[in-house]
Amino acid sequence: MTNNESTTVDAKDEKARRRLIRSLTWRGLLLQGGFNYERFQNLGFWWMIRPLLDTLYPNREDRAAAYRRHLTYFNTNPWVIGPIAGVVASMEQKRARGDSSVADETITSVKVGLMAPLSGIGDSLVFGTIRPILAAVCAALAINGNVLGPVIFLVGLFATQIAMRVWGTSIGYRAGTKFLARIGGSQLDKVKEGATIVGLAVTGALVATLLPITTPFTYENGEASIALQDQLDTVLPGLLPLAASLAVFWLIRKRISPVWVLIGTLVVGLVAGFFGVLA
Amino acid sequence: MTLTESVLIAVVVGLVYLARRIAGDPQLERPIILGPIVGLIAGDFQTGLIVGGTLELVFIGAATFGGTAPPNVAIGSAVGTALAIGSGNGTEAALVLAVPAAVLGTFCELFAKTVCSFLVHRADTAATHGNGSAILAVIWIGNIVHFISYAVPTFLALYFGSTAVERFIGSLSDQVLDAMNTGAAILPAVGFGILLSVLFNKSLFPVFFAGFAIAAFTDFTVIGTAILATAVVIVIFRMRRPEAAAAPEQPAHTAPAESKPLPKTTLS
Repeated sequence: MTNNESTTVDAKDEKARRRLIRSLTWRGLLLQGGFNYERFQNLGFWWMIRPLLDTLYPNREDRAAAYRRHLTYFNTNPWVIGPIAGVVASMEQKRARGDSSVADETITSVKVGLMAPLSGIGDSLVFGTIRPILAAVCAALAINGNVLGPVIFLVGLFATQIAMRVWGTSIGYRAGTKFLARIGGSQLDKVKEGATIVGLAVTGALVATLLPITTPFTYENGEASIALQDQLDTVLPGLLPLAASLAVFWLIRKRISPVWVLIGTLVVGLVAGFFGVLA
Repeated sequence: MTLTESVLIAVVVGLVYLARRIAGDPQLERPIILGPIVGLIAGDFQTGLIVGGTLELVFIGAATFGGTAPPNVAIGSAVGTALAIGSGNGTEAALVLAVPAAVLGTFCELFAKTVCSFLVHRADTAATHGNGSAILAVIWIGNIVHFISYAVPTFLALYFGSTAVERFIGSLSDQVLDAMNTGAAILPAVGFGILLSVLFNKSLFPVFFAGFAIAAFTDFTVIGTAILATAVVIVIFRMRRPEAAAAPEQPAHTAPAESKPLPKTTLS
């Protein structure tokens, strides 16, 4: 984790280092500024790292080259920018000190190399698993008119995000590219697996409790009129919600666009409601 | 919607989207947050809270993966909540309208990101001269484009559309209103189905049915099921610990096989 230089480093250097890490952490919030479809977060990445580039390259020509280097295509999950910012900052510092092992192309390829695996963590673990679990629990509260729903959601996500950014930038800067080896560790796999288990159980509970699909259909059996819903309930309460959710799941797995599934489900609901098949 | 209410809600929608751009994507555009805020502005916090929670379930799996544009949650939930409050007794009917609003809202995002693609070339020119303030100006123009692309359509929909929509909902027959109630009731199935596909893992999938059965056959709530599942996960991991330490598993999904090895650097 320590570089060769850090054994001889004095307190002043460590202070400057901390200031840089703090600056990168907060400026990482700017990552999606000027987001565009040509190079995605390139403007935001430049915005984040600009003060460092200005300090490292007072010479106009070097600065122009550094600016251009960081205006190339960049796209990752905004919550996991910390480690990338940390690694890139430490590489730029080495390059500015004249370390010939850090070529311009190396900096760009490290950025590109870290982009994808980190996106995977941010997109699937945070936005795909942790946020939906929190949202599910909090939405259940909000629907019952409990104001703690949105409050817990907001505070929970905010704390998660800040923790990821503060820890990520520091570990990225100090561990350098060794960081890549670390994020591949089994620890993260475990977190992901655990979150998936809780997420699946919560989704099951959501389907059973917050999807009020029933059928008003009745049929005659001799003299008695029998409600179909009562019959269904004796077999499996929540059979219709379960069937509807699994149908959507199946369509999404068949790679039908979510927008079409959304519109299609709405149309099915409207038609079934109109003819009194479902309620 | 009065002029003041429409302007305020439009500014809020523009701001929560701007926060996504320059404040680290804090997820303020989620319906569960936006619903109560819109409710506060439109004068019915409680309805905003409930509608926000319901819409959160509809859009629970809608996330931006790799820069694609999903149905626009911000515009959909703001317009849906405002209409639900404005139409009084037609909450479910208004909920249904959040869906087309969100689908149309996708174009606002596409528009803003496309305009910024042209701007990026001005930044390139500025970079060749080492002119940082000119690049910063480009970024801010881009941010303002993003803000306007969200705020203006929201304002137009609320100020000019809400009266027409409220009159429309008022004129509907009971049978059509029933149909809209059913449409609103079935919508969260989409959110749950998408969530399932996001979480899908062949060996863990039975857990979904376990969660369903617990909540369907007992009085367990979502929170209760979440606590139960978390406890089980912790126990399983504790039991596994000794062997896991002996033979650490190789991760499969965090480092895809096709990703190129990193070039050698001296950073280690």
